[in-house]
Amino acid sequence: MSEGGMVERRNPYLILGVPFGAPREEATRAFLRRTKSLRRLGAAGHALHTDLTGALKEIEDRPEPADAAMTPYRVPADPDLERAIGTGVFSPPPETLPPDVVPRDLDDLRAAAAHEYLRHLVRLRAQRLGVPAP
Amino acid sequence: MRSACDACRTPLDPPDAGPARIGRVVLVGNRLLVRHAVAVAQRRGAVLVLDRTDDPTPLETDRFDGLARVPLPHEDALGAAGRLWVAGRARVDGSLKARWSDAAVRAAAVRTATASVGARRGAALDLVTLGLPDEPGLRLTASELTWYRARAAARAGDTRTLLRLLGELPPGGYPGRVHLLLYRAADLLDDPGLAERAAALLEPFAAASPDAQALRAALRPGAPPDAPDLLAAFAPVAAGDDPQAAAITQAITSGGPLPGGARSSGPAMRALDTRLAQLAAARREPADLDDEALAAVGLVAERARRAYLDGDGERLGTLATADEAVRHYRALHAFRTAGKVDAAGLRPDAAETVRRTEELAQRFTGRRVAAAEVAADPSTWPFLRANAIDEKITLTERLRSEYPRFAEWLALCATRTSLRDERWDEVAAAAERIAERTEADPILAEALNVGAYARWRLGDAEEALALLDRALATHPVEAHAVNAALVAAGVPAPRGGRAALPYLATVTTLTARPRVRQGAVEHAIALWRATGGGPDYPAVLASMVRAALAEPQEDDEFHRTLLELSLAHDRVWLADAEPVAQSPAQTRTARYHIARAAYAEHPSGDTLRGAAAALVAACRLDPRPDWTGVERERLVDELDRALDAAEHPANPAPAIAVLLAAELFDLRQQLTFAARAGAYLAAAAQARGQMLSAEAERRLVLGPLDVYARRKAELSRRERQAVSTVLAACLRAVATAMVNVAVTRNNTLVALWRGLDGEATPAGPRVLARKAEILDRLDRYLERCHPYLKAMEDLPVDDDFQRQVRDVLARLTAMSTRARRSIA
Repeated sequence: MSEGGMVERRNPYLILGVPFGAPREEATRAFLRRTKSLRRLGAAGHALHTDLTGALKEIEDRPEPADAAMTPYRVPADPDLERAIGTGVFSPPPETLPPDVVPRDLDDLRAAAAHEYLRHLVRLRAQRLGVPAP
Repeated sequence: MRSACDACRTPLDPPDAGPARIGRVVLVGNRLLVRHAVAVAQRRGAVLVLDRTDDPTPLETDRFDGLARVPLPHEDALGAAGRLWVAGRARVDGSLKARWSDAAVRAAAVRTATASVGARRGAALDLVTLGLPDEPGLRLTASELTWYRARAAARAGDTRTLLRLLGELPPGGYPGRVHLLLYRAADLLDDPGLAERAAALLEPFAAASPDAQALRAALRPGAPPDAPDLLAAFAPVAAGDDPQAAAITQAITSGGPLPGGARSSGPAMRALDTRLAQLAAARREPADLDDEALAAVGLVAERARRAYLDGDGERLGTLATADEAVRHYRALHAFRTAGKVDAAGLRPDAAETVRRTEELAQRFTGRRVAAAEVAADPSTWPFLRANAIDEKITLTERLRSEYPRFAEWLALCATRTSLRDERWDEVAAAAERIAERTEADPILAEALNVGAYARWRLGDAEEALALLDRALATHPVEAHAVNAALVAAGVPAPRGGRAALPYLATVTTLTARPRVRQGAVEHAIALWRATGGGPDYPAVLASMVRAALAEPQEDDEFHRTLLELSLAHDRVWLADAEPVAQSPAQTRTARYHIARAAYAEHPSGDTLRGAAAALVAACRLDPRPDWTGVERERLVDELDRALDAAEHPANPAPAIAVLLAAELFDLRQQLTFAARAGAYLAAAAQARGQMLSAEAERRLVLGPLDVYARRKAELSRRERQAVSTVLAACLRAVATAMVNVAVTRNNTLVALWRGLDGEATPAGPRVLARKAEILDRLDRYLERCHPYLKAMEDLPVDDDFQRQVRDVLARLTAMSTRARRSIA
């Protein structure tokens, strides 16, 4: 308990430097990347290794989905900040159809609709004409 | 004479019906002797009629017109010759009384029919109408007569005959046949066999007649390729200047949506309309089109984009490689999944951006300066995250001022290293700087989020909460509310964990995922319980629980937790609630908790029975839920209280009956609860001056005594002793109630008896019959009491009580016997 009340003691995602909710594979990659450079730190490296191992285990053991639990503190808060925060080459806007491209079946559909309406108009004309004079 | 046919030189005079008066039958003579006369010719100012003889007699026209007219069959459809033929037939069959001869009328008909070409044609029509054979005197061609017969068949709706007769006409002649066929278009369009024959007949006229051309095309089974052109040509002919027909035709032939409420919008028109709408969307905003629609309009690029965004390499692989968009998105997919740059596949305007991204995304030592292509494109930034966190990416001053958002993003990433190393002051300061500079809401909100964490770790929870409140207001996402709840939960008393509840409620409204909502509600419940729970159930928690029960829950245990909480703290609401249930287990669990809430709010025999029935339903689930064991014990305790309490508001007997019928009790409970319920009901009946009903007596008293006698060996010695004690006490209570009622009733019956003794004829048959009835009733009461004497023998009922009962019954029986003798 600190002056301001209870605070989070450790946050496994922040320790490993991965975003909140990162998949286990990403956490493992971060762990390997961080531990590679620890040997040269000696005893301090040992302590840090212990921290990292604990953080990785915590992520590995967490229940799924991670965000169903209301702990730990989430950084970043908005996952979109990690994925894409705007459109561009890797997050392209919708593609549209050029005006000169026409569906292949459009002529057939048009002919079928024209035929259908022609039949309707023929019936209509027959009703209007009545029986012809001899 | 009119013009002649170009082909056969036949004059084209139209049929002539002849003078209107000729063939008219009128009444002549006087009142006593009426005759029928028929007009056969007409001269200046006079009408010649056949009257008494076959010699025509002149009548002034005015006088003729004033004579009464005799109607003839088909008269309105016939010309002059036809009327004469009909008059002749009427003369023959006797329906006209005339002195003139049939031959004289026929001769007049022939004269009329052959007066001109037009008259001949008119007469021919009359022959067809009347179904008469050809009249050689008319000198018309066989084809012309066939034509008239075809027309008659068309009018009669005989389309098969029409086609046969038209087939007998010269192939290129009689163009009027097009209209005859058109007149029967409905039949032809509905019958492929007729349609084929009609199409052949129309062939010679298609070039010159728009009707023939349109009808022939319409009769085809499938749409001809030139159908739009045919429609465009025929629409003005068929529909004139009808604006809707013109608009529909325009839409079909030239594109564009069909007018609203288009007439005759059949499947083909709807299919075209759908495709045109898809096409319009594909060109403007394809977001609402599904993959099938995109495939239909040929928008392969969007299909490839979506597959790429979904990370679905397999789907990308199914699309045509020939399409440049497919190659482009495959290359992006390869870069995203394997970090490979396929420059040949990428679109030229994207290739450099991807290459620059790859330079900054790969692992490298030292630092690299970001390229403008990357700074300008936020979609590249996630690839740089690891190097940005390690602060390996730098910016030139020019790019920093040109792309401030990228600079802020890099600074935000850099705080991650400080967070990792727990340099809270640095993190707080950096976050504050970013928050001051940025104009992008997501970056501002994240800076506030990171700054809040640092403030929290520095011990300033109030400031951390203030920052998170601002983040929520700027960019409301669920994680800001989760973080705020986390911070608020640590705030010391008196607010304590309850300060987190409003934030958790915000989580439930911001998230779209049920699992996260469940997590927030569970956390809120746990926090509230951790603060001691108690009667002050927070309104915000009640709202969360009610909302959670109003939506489907996958987790049965969570669902029950919500119900239990509501039962304990929100039962007024629960008693009338209709929680959503996902499974039979949830349905029955909810039903039980609602029934309990209803009983708690309105205790009565009905609501207690409702709770018992709901528990029985829950116990029948397979597997039986664990919680039903505890609830059964709770219910048994409640039944105990109701049976023992002098003034309990609920009659427990119906609930006990439900549980007995469901066989939820063990043998000991089954026997004792039944007997206690019997004693309870017997006492209640006695209070009403009645005996326990025979059915309840059998089910709750005498039946259980039989069961005890048969199965007591299944009970342990101690259980046997306990059960027999309860049964004895209950039996004594029931026997007391029954005998008391018998005695009371006996007193009433004695009073009745004495009243009968005071009647004028006390030995009369009516009085004796009434007395017999009184004794029958007394005997029935005594019969109900006698089994108890036998039942008490096998149970530890004290002897004094048994003797008292026996004495009372013996006394009453003896009295009944004496009385019966007195009236024998």
